[in-house]
Amino acid sequence: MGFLDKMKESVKDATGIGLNAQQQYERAYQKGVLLQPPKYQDAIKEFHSATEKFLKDGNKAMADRATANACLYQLVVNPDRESLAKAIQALEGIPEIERIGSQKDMMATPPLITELNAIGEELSARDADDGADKIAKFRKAGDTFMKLGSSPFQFVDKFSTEGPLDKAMNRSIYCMALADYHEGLCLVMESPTRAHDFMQKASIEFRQSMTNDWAEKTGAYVERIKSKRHCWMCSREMQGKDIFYKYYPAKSEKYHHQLVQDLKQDHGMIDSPNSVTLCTICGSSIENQADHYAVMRAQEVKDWVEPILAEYQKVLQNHHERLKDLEAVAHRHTS
Amino acid sequence: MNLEEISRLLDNLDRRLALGEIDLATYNQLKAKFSAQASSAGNPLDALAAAAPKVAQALKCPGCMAPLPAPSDASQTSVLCEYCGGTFTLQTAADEMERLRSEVRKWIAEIAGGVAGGTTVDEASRRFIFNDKLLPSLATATNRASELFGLTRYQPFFSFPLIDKLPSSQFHQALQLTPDLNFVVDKIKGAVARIQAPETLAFAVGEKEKAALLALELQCEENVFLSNSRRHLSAYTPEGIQKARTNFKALADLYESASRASLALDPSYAKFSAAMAKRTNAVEQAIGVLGRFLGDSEGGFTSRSITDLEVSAQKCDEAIAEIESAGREPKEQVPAVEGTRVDADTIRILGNCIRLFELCGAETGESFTQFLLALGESVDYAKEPSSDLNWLSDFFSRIVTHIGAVAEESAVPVINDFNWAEGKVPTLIRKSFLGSAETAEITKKVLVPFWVATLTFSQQKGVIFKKGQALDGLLLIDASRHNGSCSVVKPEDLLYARCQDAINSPKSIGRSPSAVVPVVSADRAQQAIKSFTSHTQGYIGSYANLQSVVYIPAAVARFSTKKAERHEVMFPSDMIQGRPFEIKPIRLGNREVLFLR
Repeated sequence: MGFLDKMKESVKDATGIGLNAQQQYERAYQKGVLLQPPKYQDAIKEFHSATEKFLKDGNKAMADRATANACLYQLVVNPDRESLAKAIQALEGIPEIERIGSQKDMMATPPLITELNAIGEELSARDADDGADKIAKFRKAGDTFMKLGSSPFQFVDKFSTEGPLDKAMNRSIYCMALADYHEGLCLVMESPTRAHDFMQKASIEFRQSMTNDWAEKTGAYVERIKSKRHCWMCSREMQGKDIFYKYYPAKSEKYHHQLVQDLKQDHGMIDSPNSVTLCTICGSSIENQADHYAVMRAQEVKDWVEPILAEYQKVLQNHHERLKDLEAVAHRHTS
Repeated sequence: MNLEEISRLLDNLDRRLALGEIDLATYNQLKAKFSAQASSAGNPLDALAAAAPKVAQALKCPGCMAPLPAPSDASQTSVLCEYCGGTFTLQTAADEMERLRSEVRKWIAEIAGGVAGGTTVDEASRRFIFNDKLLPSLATATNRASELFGLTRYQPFFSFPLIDKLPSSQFHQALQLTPDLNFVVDKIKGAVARIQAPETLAFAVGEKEKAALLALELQCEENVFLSNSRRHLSAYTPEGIQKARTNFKALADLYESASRASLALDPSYAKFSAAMAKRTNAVEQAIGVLGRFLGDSEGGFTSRSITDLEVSAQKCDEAIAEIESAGREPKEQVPAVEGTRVDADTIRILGNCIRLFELCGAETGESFTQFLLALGESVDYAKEPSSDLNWLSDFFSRIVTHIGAVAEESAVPVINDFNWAEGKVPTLIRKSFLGSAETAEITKKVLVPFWVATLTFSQQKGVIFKKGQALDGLLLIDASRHNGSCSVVKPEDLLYARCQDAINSPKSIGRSPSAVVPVVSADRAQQAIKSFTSHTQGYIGSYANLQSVVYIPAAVARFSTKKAERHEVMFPSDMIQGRPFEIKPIRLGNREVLFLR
């Protein structure tokens, strides 16, 4: 290669002008992906340029691959829903692609698409407001993650730091646990027994997926939801501490404990010192009635005191005007 | 005699039978005679109780409500409970039973008073009274009495001393959550007395009612037997193991009875109970094997014991499948499956320990207890806060492989060449300006395990016109200690090719030089890789693929002058930072394993 040719090559290399499609594609790695630290935005631009050049050359396969790489690195830079959808769409058109950060190592696209789909489903689940929708989406995300088996993740940690980030199977169990947890929450006001089932399942699943903080949280909820007590007032048995029955402050003596024992009634009603269990209907009716009477009484006091205060206000106003008159006279005298 | 006197006589008969003052034939004869007298006195309720099946009631242990053994002779005044280990006088036991019986009669009289006479109507009335009044009251009492123990009900049944070394042992958690036995018994005593009383049984006329009573009895007594079993097993003494087995056998019988009683009425519950019986029997057998080894000073028959443990573990696996297909609610099924799975894993780990014991010279006469202590010491060295059953199982596999490689019975990737050390030492000698040069000698040669991963990373050239290129290398993660230390070895480094050759051509290690046991699991190595490729400058975004553990030579050299001395740890590659270490040898039977600190 002569001197001028070498100069030409150096200029091409430095400026990126006059490169063919393949050179443009490689430039994306040399001037973007493989720099330390990597410059992914520059790589994305180069990949887009390579796409155009490949299309001009009629090489659709490489054009698709360049587009897919551009979308993938866009996802690395901006892990959001829009980038996720574009990356999935681009990857579906090709059988394999370079591993993130590598120019040589190839990986099959189906597992990557599965992972990205699962991430999308999990994101949808987190954003869902409707309980049933949230549950269904978490289950779907769990099923999709399970398809990846014990494979490590490529992208999950870019979207979330919560939950297992090591193996797909663990994250699958985590998503199933979240589905069961939300199902328990949805059911609790209708059937605490069924809610208990789901929460218990969620607690074990969280432990299996090594998310111990969630396991403890659901474990504590299970303890509350499975607990049953009779209401002191209506004698109905309720399930769910602080959900369908509560402990209210009350004065209880040894005699009461002995009486309950002798009558073979539910000793749980007074098993907490200076407290008694009431179902939320009995308890809330007392609270509401107490509120009602308190408001009524406050209104009565207000009705009684307002005229008195109005009278005082009149007297004060009168004094104020008289003082004003006196001051005016005093001024005339001093001047 | 009036009705009261006859009642007292009838109650006294039970006590006299338990105390051995009368035999069973005499008891039945007298009971029938006085019952007939009582029924003619006119109280329908007493007649019902008298008409109840004449089953002699064994004395219950005041400490745990389990049945006390009958006295072997009439002169015996105290008895030892084989379930809780407590000793009680027969009088105390009888008095306590009497007190409970009297409370039960008062309760029945209050709840079921006013029952009309006539057998046909009586049966219907009895069924109604049972379902409408007795059973709900019993169910409430049972649920309240056992609600605190619900958390530990299905948690692991089986453990052995090594498991207690793990920072998070589920058996240990269950043991800590299990309330004190006195507290347990205090809660359930009244409920159990009412459930088991003949007066209550008189109202349980149909199979469905009997099955319901049995289910409540199971719920109460399960807690007693489990509390006893876990507590006794955790002592790991021959007596404790024997008591644990007794309690587990009783628990298995209880599950089997419940299964048989509910077969026609509730097949799902029957299948579940049968699976729990299978699990309990499997654990009881595993405890038997453990007992043989902990109690036997010369060690048991290792091959047979390993087979027995594998059978027990398989039975646990079968129980898991049966529980999952029983169709119970998740709040029962899921914890039961989880607890059984942990039992199966723990039994298998015990099998691996015995296998290791066999490998390390069980025939030399060392006791398994001593061997387990040494193995426990090795676990203490190797574990970290997040180590769990999976890690322990993996660790034993690696020890077995390591010992095999040292004994030249198996092959591992190893670079057993220290020639480079002689050439490296002179380059590290320091010469002071005025003083003399240090003298140097190699004091130690050891093979250190590293996890090796192929690494694809990028390198940047150019200052103004920067250009990146992909390069290959090897990432070495220290497997001898939990420090997460990573080193990159590039192709131009001699160690690169030697590592690849070692992976492709494994060989045995032999006894010299010493080799250190790898303590880092593959999962932890993967975590170290992830951290390295995410945060290490120059390697962010690189990709590593874990290959294998490779034993790499390390040499310790001492450099000394007249006034001072220092030590340097050297590796074949300068890329591996040599950190000072101590070698801790632990004797396992007739083998020695080395750990690095």
